[in-house]
Amino acid sequence: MSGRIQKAEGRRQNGRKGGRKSLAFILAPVFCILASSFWLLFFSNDLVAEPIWREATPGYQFAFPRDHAAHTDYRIEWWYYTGNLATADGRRFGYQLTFFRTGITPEPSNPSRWTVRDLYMAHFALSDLTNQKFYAFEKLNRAGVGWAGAETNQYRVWNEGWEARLEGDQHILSAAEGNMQLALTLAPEKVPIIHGEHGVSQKGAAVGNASHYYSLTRLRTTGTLTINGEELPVSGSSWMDHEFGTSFLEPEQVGWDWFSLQLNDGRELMLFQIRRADGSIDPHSSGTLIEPDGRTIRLSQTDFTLTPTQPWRSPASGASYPMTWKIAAPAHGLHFLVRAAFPGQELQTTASTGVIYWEGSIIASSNDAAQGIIGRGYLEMTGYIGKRMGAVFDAVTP
Amino acid sequence: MEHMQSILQVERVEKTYGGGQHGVAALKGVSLEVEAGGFVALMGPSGCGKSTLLHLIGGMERPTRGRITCAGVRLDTLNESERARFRRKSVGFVFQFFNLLPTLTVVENVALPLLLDGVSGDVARAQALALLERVGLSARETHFPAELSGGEMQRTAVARALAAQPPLVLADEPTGSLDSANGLQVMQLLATLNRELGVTILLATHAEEAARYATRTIRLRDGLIEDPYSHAAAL
Amino acid sequence: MLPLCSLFHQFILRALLREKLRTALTILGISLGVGVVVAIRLANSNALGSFRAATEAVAGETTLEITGTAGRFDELRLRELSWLRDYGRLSPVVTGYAMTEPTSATEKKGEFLQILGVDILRDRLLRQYDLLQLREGDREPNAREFLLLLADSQAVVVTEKFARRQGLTLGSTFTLIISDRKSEFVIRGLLRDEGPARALDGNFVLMDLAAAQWAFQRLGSLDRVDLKLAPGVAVEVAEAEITKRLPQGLVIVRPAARYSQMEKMIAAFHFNLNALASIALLVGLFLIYNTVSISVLTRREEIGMLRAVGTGRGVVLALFMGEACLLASMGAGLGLGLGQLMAKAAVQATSTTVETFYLAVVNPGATQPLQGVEGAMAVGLTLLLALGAATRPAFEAAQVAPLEAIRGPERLLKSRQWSWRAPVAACGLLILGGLLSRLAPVNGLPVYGYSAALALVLGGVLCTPIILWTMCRQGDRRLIRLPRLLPVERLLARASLGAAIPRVAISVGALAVSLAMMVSVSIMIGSFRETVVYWIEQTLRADIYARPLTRVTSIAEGDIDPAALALVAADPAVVAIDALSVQRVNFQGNTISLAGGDYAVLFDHGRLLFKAPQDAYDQLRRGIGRDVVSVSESFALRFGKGPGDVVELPTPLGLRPFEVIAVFYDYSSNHGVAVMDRTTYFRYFPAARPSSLSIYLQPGANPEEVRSRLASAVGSRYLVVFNTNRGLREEALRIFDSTFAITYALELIAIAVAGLGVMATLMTLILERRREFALLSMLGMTRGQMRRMLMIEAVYIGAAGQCIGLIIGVLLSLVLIYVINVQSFGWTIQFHVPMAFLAQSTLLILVAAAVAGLYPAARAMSANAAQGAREE
Repeated sequence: MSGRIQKAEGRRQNGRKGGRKSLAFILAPVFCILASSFWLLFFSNDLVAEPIWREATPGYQFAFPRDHAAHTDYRIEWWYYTGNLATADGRRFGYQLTFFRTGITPEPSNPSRWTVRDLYMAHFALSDLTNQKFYAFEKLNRAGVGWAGAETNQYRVWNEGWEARLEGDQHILSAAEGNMQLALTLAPEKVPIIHGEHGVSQKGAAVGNASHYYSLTRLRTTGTLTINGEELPVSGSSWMDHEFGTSFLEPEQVGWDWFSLQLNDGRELMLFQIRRADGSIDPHSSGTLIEPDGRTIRLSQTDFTLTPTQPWRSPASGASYPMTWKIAAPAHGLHFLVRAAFPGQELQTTASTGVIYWEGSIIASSNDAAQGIIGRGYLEMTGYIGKRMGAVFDAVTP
Repeated sequence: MEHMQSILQVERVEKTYGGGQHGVAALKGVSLEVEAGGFVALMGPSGCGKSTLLHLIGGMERPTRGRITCAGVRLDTLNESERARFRRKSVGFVFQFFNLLPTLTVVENVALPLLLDGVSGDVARAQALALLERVGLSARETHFPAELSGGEMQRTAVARALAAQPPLVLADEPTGSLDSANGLQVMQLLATLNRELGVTILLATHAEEAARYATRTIRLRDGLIEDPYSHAAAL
Repeated sequence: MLPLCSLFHQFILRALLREKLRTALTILGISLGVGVVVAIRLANSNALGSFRAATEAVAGETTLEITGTAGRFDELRLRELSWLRDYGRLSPVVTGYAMTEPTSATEKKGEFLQILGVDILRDRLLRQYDLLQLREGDREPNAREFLLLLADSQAVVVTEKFARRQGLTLGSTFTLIISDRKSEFVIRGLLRDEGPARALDGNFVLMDLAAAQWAFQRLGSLDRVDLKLAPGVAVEVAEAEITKRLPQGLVIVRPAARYSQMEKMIAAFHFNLNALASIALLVGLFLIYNTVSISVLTRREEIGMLRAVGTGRGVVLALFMGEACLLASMGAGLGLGLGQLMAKAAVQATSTTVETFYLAVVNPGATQPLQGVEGAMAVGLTLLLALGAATRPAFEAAQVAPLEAIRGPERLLKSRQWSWRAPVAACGLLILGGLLSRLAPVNGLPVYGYSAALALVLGGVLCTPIILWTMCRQGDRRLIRLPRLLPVERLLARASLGAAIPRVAISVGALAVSLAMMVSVSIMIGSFRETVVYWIEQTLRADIYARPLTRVTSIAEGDIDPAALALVAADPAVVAIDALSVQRVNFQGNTISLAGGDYAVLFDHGRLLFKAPQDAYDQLRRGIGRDVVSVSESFALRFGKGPGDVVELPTPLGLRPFEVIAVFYDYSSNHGVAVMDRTTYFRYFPAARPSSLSIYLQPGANPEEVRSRLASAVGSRYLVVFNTNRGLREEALRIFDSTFAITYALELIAIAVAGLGVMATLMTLILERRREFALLSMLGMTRGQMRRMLMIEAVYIGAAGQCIGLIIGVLLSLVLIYVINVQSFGWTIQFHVPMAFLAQSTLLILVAAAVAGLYPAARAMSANAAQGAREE
């Protein structure tokens, strides 16, 4: 669930462009180590391994399906699925299934299977839009005897019983926690969209403060959700992000708001803005508009505005999140409203990161009320409670 | 003096119990002399100092002042173990309460002084049996004191007093606990022994009947010899 | 109430104060008894308690544990267990012990630490680790942070306590010895005294699972998987379901099972210690009985007078019960303190045994202080027992008729007559003891064995008057056939002792009890030692023995690196090596050792002593390669298995049937050992490493030379201890002797208590005999004669005690050897009487008794003849 919440502050790098949402999830563990606690200060030198991780540098050539699989040379990697689904009788659901890999020691000396080369985290959330119910689960594992992992020669990533893999060109997702389950087949309807330039999505000024980042923005989705034991055949549309790199964010970033939208007209829109400590919007905020034919238009921070309204205060955490956003990209003729499918889609990832964030299904509608719903998607909002993301890791631990 | 061998000489003996101002003077300067083979009765009321005098003469205690010579031994100068040896050899005791060892048989009781003196068991036994015969208790040799009558016990005590063949027997109220018949018997026994064995007997009593067996009587009162006459005679 | 109080004060208290010494002796005796019991209790609960506390602390919230049938198991088997997640949280565990480096050359071993290797991500859901924060406002690290603290293979988190003891701090590097290797570790965190950190007084090390596997060289295997059931899942249900679903070779246990298993194993040892300690208390109670009895006996006239002036029976009863209470409570109170003091010594004295045979690591820390409730219970129990002990004499006092005030010496006459009841009861008890000794144990505890021992002891006590009477009145009553030596003194001593039999019998009985125990225990130990010496001579045939440094006892952990083994084998003087691998496994709820040795080497060079069958060697030869085992005697006894029987032994592949083909004698452990040939063993335990080596040399080789050669060849790389045959024998006997040292100590204390009793009795007798002494003095008895007489009395008492002690002791030793030992430990011990020791101790006791008579004699002499006479 949480994935992207944390915005870690950069540890040694002065990256400037905020990574996307999900980045933070991954970074969190790494940064938190460095962060506040005294002993972290004491030992961080030892713990943060010598940088033998590979940096994301321009010129990377993507190839598929190879690049779906894990890139274990890089420190951080995640696979991120969100989607909006419905049953035949119109019950609507949103889901999120995310797998994270964080490298800890690139070349461990101890041959034990339990040696922590990588840490694997996964978040799984279901939103029952009709009943406005939200279910979220998390996992944190080392590879061990195969309790979690990400294969390099073919696409398969898993954490205990949760799994995403490729069969042909179809992504097979499965996750279960008690009587909440998900079993979906995702068929891409568009080619992979590669973000950034020259194969890298630059996140900061320094070379290497970047990631390799692509998305499958429209995946036709069919399968079954089990909600409280009730098996429901569903279909709908999903979005997949896959990003890998080694170093990312910077400290002034307080939080971010990330949107992925599939518009009814065949376009998709990805937007994120990073909020800085001084209240300004980070210049690395950006977006991508994908045309029905897969052509992409890069949106820089100045190309769009995001205006939050309708704050909702979470009874659980006390955080206040905007439930409606006005989105405008005048150059591209985009003016519409985005609202949360329902407010209660907040996650508290106590077991893994301790970050509190909101991530849920959203509905896009035209400013002109007559036109009704123009698309659906997912929104992630982080840094609305507690300190900045960098300090957020102080939050409760088990 | 030379016609009559003296076995005991007591010269100006004083005995004070306790010390300092609160000392109780039991004897306040007693002098007397007993001839060998004599039978002397020491008479006086309770508390007159009879027993104390007997104890001093028997070597059980030392006088506070004065001199005691018994069987040729200066008692006042002896140390404890010398006095023990003296008691063993030179005096025999008979007391009111029999003073037999309850844990020993009659014959063992009689033989005890001999045994203490290192006489061998057989010899001691033979002598003890002879004495028992003399006091008429042969049949009782293996009995324990508790199985005897009062008279028998006192006769056993007499036999024991004679066991080591001492020249002097000290008897302190030997009839005090006996009925008159038994008392008579014991006194007769003592008199007989005095006569036949020539053993000197110093008898402390307040009973006139007992004193009658003595050949001489000395009276004590409040720690002093009462009869100035015999006092003078003794000197 | 008030009159009773003042009466108590005047009648009892004053008497006690007047007789200060006797009162003090009584109180001291009781306090010693209570103290020993308390000390042993504390020591036992220390051993068990530290294990239990460690087990519980380390178990945390674990409800169930999955482990291999034969202990450790292949970690890949976890893949078959993904369904277990439905039951709750899982945490795989690698655990074991490590040793700190001995700080000085003389020290043989360092401190042992328990290492827990876990995946902290999972484990924090089961166990609480309270990391010390050094700065105000620092917070607990979350799971991931914690994991990263431990991520590299040198990283450890230790307890603050341990760090302080060792002078280490955050970031310090220190060395631990694991098996035959030294490893360096870095302290990444300090644990506060919470959760598992409380184990072993802070000797706890937390590592990452991977680091622990690496450190123990156990890559690929786990010790267990701890499971914390999800809320709402019933343990019984889950246990039953999981048991059903678990694949071959894995079992499920509750964490407490380990504790109860240990408890079971050590129970017999503790039971025996408690029983031995109780003797001192028992003797202490005799003392109370004795004191009150004497007080009643010597004061019959006074009691009669009290009665004559109208005191009720109840009051008299209360007075004497009160006396017992007073003595007991003072004794018990003092005993509690004494017990606390002695507990430390008791822990020390038992730790070798416990560590050799039961727990690899005993909490080195201070003993737990006695709980208030326990202390109160101890005092209460002592009071109760004391009241029980005083009942008879107190009732006797209540029966005293007013008339007795004026009946003096009659009591002497009365006391000379004794009834036939005592000897009859004595015979009955002895027979009962014989019968009880034939009954089987209860729950593995020799309850009937000890009952038999108790019956024998009581029988012996009841014999005391007869023995005393015989000694004092041997044959002819009219005797004056006097002994040659000190005739008159002996006559008098015998006579007065004979008369005082009812009064001295009790204290002599108590003395006899403790002496009997001494005799029996020394016979048992002597026999055991002879047996062990013989066994060692017969079976220790190798010239040199090798073990990893940490394997300080047969149950400690540690194995030898194959490379070290190769180095040993390369020595030209080495002809053969029998590498013994040992695995401790759970067999029918008991811990046993499964061992694999090289039969071929055993046949050619070594030797075992077999109990059965006759042709054990041939059987063994024929059994090579088959699933057969030879088992130790204690295994055979405990599980009732003999040649021809089939046992289902736990192996990594599950329970497998093995045929028992031979039973051998083994005195090195009482857990039960099953040995198979290495060919069979390695089929089941392919990864096993040798735990010890028996090295045979070429004829003529100098073991000492080879030993130092091997030590220098191997020693620089591997921490392997080489011992020559002679060294090992000495070591074995040293352990043996230290094991039994406490037994002797307990016995000596019991004897001391009994000695106090005898002394107190003598003192009383002397007071009573003042008149007699005066009379004797009048009759010319010298002080020397009197002193000798009293010493002879004391010697008679000692002799009577020792005489009964020898007789009962021999009987008891039979019970100890053939019943209690067999039922508790399962060892065959050849009966052997340590004549020299017994003769020595007899002499010692007589001399001690004579010396004990000195003080009363001195007291007696102070009463002078005239004073005695004046009392007439």
